Amino acid sequence: MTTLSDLEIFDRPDFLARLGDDEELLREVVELFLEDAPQQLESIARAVAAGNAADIAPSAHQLKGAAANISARRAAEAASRLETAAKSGDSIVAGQEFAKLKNEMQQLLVHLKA
Amino acid sequence: MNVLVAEDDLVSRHMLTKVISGWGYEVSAAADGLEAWEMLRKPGAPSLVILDWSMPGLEGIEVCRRVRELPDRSPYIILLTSRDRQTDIVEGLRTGADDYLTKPYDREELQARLNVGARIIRLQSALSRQLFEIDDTLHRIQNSFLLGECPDGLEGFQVAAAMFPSETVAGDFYDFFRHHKRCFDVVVGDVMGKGTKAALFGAATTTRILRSMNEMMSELDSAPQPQPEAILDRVNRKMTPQLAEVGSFVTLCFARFDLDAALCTFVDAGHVKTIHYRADLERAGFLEGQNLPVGFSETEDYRQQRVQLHEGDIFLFYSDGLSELRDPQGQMFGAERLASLVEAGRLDSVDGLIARIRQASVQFAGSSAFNDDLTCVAVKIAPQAIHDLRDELQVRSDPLNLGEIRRFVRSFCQRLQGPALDEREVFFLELATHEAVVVAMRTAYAGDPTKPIIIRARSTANTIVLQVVDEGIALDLERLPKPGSDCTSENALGVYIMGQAMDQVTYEKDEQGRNCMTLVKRVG
Repeated sequence: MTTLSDLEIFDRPDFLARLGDDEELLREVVELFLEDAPQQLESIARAVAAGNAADIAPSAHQLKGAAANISARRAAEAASRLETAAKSGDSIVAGQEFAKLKNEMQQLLVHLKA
Repeated sequence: MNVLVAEDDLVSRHMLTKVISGWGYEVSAAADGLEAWEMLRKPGAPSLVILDWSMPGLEGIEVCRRVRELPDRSPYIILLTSRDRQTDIVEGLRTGADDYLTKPYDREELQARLNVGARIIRLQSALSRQLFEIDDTLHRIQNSFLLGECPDGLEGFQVAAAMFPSETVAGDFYDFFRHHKRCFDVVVGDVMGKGTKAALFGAATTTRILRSMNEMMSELDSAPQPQPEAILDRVNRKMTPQLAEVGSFVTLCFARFDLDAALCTFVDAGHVKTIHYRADLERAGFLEGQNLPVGFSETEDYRQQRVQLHEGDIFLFYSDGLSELRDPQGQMFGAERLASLVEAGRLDSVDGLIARIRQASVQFAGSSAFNDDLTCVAVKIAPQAIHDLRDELQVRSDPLNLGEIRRFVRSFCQRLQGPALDEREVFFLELATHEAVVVAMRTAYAGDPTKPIIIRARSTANTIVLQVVDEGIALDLERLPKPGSDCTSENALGVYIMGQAMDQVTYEKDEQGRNCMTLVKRVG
């Protein structure tokens, strides 16, 4: 199994290529992500706190897509693991996976702001 | 070209919008399924759609399903799905998506797939432009070639025609051919099938009729007009192979109205039965023949029938679109109902009668959007239209034709206006004509049964004139012995009978040098 640390936090060249090498657009999109992602993480946090595994999966899925979209590989993988755990209904594992996701997201946001 | 991006994720929506506009598309965006649906259902909606599968409210696939139920709208839809939900792709395509992309999308793949969509949209609109053109052409064909103009300059007739077209051209046609002011032909027909084929064959039929008449008139060398049955024989022979090739046929009624002879001569080629309102009986009946539609058999022998015209008579030709019109319960309009309408509208003008029929059919069907063309042609014989009758019969000089000649004289007498002749008078006219024909057969043609004999009948207010014309050896009337002498000449007896039965008998050459026996009877 791939460990998270094998993956890149942010695959900038891949993302830039998908934006047609438009640096300005990259900055714009990253800024939007910086505004939007914390809210998405917040809604997952609420679902985890409520202990409702069924509510966790859709929000995790959404964040997974958003992270993958900007080639944020580690966060996307972490969100994907949380989604899987939430679907299996194991709220303990889900809690652990959420903690990892939160950590990855913090690193990503720091990386992107840099 | 307009692209709609429907994606709930803000970042990815923004990215897609920017990237796709960078390729020269005009892009609008929707943040959820419901918004996308509201945009797509409107006229002028984008023709290319990038639709995310999982969105709050309405899922992409539901938007897709709803869009596909819209009439006259078919945007090209690319469904966006996560890489781990590839099994959904089949469902997405079945629901009506044209293509799919997995997220996160690959830039070049997205561009290539969008371009495919744009190409298909362009092809579609080119195709629908062409279809529109074809449809437009068909309606033009219908208006200019399938629907003839009511003939001008007729005397003693009122004629009106109308077609209430269905949405698709159904191949009904009518046309008129004017011979002179007191004689014209009408043809009303229906080509099996709809659309281009029906319209073109409808136009071809009227053209073929006209061409056949033209050919026959030049062949006959300006002798009398070609008869309806002979015209149809020729039209059928020419058109059957063409119609058979496309598996179609044409039903029609061809009728000639001749006020000089007070006759309607018609051929019914498998068409709906024509309605004939008889003013003398104050009742509507049907005219119906036994012939097959044009295009069934090359060897079909078309037979014409004759009906007498009376002042105030009405003829209504129509197509099955009218008689087979259905009400919301599925009941048929029917020819009987049409006949009652003609009876009820016997005092209407012909235009008034057609308006009455249209109103009744719309009321019956509960709508004016008909499934089939509704065609009708009304012909009315005007008051004082029939006077000074003329009729003509051409036969071979075979004694077997004597019966037909007597029937011709009798039928002519029956058509005279004013007080009817008594049986004795009719008998004498028959007898005198019979004798004149026998003289021509026996003497002028010396018994040869293959020579032409023409019998002409005409009437004025107080005379009936019958002429027998032959091209044989002239008879010397002066040198015929008088009856009662010891001579037993059959000719002498015949001439004597003619003299007794008629008021005046003359025998001379006509302008063309033919022998012409003229019998005159004063009446009234």
